[in-house]
Amino acid sequence: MRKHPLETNSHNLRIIKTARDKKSINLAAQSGFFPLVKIIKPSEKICSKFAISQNKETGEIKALNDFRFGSGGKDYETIIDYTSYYPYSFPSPYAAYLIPKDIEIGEHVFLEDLIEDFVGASWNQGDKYRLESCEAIWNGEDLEIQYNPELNIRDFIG
Amino acid sequence: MINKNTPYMIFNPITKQLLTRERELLKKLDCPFSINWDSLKTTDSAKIRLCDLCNKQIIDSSSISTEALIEKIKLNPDICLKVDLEQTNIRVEIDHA
Repeated sequence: MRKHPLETNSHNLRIIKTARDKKSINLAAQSGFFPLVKIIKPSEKICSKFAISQNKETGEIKALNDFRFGSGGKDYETIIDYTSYYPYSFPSPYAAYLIPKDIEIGEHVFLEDLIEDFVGASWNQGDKYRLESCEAIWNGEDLEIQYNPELNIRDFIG
Repeated sequence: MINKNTPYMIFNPITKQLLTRERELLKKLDCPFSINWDSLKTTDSAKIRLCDLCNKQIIDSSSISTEALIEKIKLNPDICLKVDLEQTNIRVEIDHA
């Protein structure tokens, strides 16, 4: 029976899940997966920006992310000008791809939740966002991520 | 600068949530496939492309009025959209609440 499209991916590859904390990594190991553990290293290429405006009377703030929409209104003053930052956070500083025992060397797979940072979307205001998932090849020891900016940097669809 | 009277939607590129200006959730753009707009099948309308994987139409959300798009999403929450951060009916907002 053909899988529902949402249970698969565009090339119908086997999906490799990611565990993002010690408990789920160990549960997966007990279930027969080999956890391929990686350090989470935020890339300098991934960035967003924010500015803070504050109401001059009430002290309430507005966080701004889009240059096109000004500074928050006449009652507000900018107290932090646009500043770049890394906009993602994760529950633990490491994570693991859960490798099935029957994976074959050279097998193309689909990493559902990428641990590594690659640019998946960019904006003409300078912001760059993470790629969420990507294809990879198992070489017997590691996953070789098949990142191609021409294909993987794209608009948001869904 | 975008005219503040121009209708727009809010998009959060981290959570991929599309919201109304009043911050009502319209939908999450979380297609699990690696789909590129440019590689989708064209149709008679430049605003619409076809996805073979789900046999669904994908609407270019920059090519339709904000009011009409919100109405379409409310009528059919499973509708598929393409959002480009540079389009003028989108305000990017990242809510860290």
